[in-house]
Amino acid sequence: MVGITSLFEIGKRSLLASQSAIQVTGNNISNANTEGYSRQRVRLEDGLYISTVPGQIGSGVQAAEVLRDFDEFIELQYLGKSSEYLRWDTLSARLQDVEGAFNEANTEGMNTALARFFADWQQLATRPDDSNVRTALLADAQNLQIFLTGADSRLEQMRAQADAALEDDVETINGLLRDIARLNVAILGAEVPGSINANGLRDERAALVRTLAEKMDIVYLDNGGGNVTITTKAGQTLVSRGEYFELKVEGPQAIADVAAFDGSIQFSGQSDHEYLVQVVTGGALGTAQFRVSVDGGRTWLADASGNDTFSAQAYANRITLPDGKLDVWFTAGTQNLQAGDIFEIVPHKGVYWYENSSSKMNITPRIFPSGQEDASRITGGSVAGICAFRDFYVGRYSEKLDALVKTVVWEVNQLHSQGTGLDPLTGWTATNAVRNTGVALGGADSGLIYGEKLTAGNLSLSVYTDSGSLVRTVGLDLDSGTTGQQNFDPAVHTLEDVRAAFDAVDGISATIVDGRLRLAADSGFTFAFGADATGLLAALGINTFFDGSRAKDLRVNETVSAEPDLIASGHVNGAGERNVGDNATALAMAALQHKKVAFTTTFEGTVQQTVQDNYASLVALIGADVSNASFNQDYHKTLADDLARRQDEVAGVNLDEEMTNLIKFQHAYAAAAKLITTSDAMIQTLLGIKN
Amino acid sequence: MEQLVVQSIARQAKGAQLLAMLLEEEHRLLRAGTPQAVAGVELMVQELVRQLAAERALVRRLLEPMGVQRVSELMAQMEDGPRAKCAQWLQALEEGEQKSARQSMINMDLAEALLQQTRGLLARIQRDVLPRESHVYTARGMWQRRAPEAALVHGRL
Repeated sequence: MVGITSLFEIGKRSLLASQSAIQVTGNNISNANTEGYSRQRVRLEDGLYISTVPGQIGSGVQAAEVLRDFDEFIELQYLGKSSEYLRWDTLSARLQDVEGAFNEANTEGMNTALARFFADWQQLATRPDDSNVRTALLADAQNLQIFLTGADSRLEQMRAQADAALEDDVETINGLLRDIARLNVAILGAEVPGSINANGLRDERAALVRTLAEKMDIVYLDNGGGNVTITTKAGQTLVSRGEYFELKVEGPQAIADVAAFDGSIQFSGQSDHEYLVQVVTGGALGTAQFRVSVDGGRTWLADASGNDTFSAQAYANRITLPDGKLDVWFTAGTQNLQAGDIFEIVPHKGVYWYENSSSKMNITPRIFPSGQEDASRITGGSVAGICAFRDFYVGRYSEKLDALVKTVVWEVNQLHSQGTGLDPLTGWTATNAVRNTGVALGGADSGLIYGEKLTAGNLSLSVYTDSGSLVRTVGLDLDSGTTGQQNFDPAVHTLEDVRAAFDAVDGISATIVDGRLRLAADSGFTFAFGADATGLLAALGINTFFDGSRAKDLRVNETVSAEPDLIASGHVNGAGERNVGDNATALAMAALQHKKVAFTTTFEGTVQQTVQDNYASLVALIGADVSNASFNQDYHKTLADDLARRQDEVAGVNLDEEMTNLIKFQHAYAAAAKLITTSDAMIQTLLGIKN
Repeated sequence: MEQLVVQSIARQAKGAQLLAMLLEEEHRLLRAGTPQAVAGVELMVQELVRQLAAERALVRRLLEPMGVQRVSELMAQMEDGPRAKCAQWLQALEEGEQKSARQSMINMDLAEALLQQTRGLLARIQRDVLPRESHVYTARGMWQRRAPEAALVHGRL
């Protein structure tokens, strides 16, 4: 009812509304420096209207709700940019560490070590019988090995650090998901639409979502009423209302997607790639054929002969994949492999999304060798940065370093194995083992490291007496039962065949010990090798200078380092003679410095470069990657900062504005009080009429 | 005349280095989100580029009466001392230009990205202020059919 007494009610409401507004303003002022706090304000609305004469009269004001100033649209943009920024920031910081490890001093050191190594061979060509030159060569070769293995071990350390960081990040992510789900429930319980808003909880949740976006790329869906769903960009649900789905970091494993096969695929070795194994011909082990891809099935790995299908074998005949990094075999089940069966081999730590306790999905960030990103995996945040660093960047550097070592070892050993030192040999045990002595040496199941380098042809060896007189020079005959000399064929001949062929040479005995060929001169004889068109000697590791095939296992051959006179400086000529002062091998070795040789990697294919140019290209690649990551980090940070500034303009507390509001509401409060005193005066006037 | 050419190249080299510095400053300001300050630096950049172009034209005019078209041809005729000096300035000029080119590309990418970002936000604001229905009431309360175009100052706010 309209009357003087209703003025008291209007005044009271106004006082309360102003009090609320001042309280909220005070809260804003006190939280001006609170991280993640969003400015709040009271939504005032006019009260009910009462129809009377002269018309509708209002009943004052009421504080309807406390609103939070926060721009969801800008926040969504920010989350995306923040993910991108953190991805590049993480990558950039880690790549700078790599650059530090391969810094200019190291480059100089490596170049100097390489130059010294080749210069020593030049020196040896000048003075083949000088033991000081031989000792210096061994020392410089060991120095070169220290540089290469050192670089590899630094990369390995960085990989281990990345693994640890990945585990930390995933643990943090799980904590965030749990807390966001908890806040979802709390907000849903606390809010009454239109009157009570859980502003503090929403701020808390927004801060957690920001941290989550820094760890991985997310899609944030507000379903209304405080209920949000968060998924990965690829679509895996992370949080839905009060539920959350955990991520886990798991070690190397193979995941099968098969029709009926109930055996398993097994692997050994280490690689930065993920392998897709697809069965192309079904059947039992030994019959079934499969192919392998490192880019999700876009291209298929092929061996040196261009063959891209391999036989599915049991452990004894396991297949070494063409990149030489993994051995793959199958265990038999009651059901055979079928065409179309697929296995995914993840030979390193990966991130898995668990939909329930038994169903998981590999969401490890992945960049294909072509540089294209796998959009079905995590693509942003520090997790993507760490995995890209570990698998794509360090993986490429490692692969390039290994390719460099593999080529240097092969080229040096090729020349060395066909040369001869100051003394002929009395025996030699091959350094490279064969897994199965009964299969063709050139096949993927032989397990011979340089098996793909073998070619059809022959090699010659000469047998001498103890005093050095030539007894005979023969070519290796792979089938003494057939008339004439039968050449070696890598697609046909096994280590057992090679052993038999060597053993058939008068003056030489050949045996196989632990998959390695052992040659020994019979009593009273010595031997030396001539030209080898097959590559057998270098591939098996006979009369070689270096051992190993990767940066981590490179070393100078123990026999040579123990007996420097065996360093091959000369060669055996066509007549089977070893001449004093011959320097043909040393000269060829020195010339290797300027010779373009083949380096093969999965991301570059085969390139022809000199050894030094190849190392320089590795350092240049690292430099370019650092520069690119640094630019992207800078770029995305600027855009993220811009959006953060825009959000601050909306949600940030401006003390000047709050002070103005404070005075405004103070005046409103004073005016409301004045309304009450005026009403009181009016009543006093009415009561005074009686007196 | 020869000395005038070398002096101009020296000025160009110093100008190119200053240009690179200005572009780096512009980059810093872009990152800090201060467009007004960026505009100030950009004006200086434009003026410097104009002066560098004028120096280039001057060198060309100086070369003509000497019967050569390129500085390298002139250098072939110089004595060892001045030639070394000229080569040194040319190298500094080249370095300054390369650095400026790289930095200006980075600045352009950044400015373009910020523009796109702002454009996206503006498009969203425009979408928000546009009535969902094309039929609206005018300020006088009259029913009116309107084209659904953005009209920030057209009375419907």
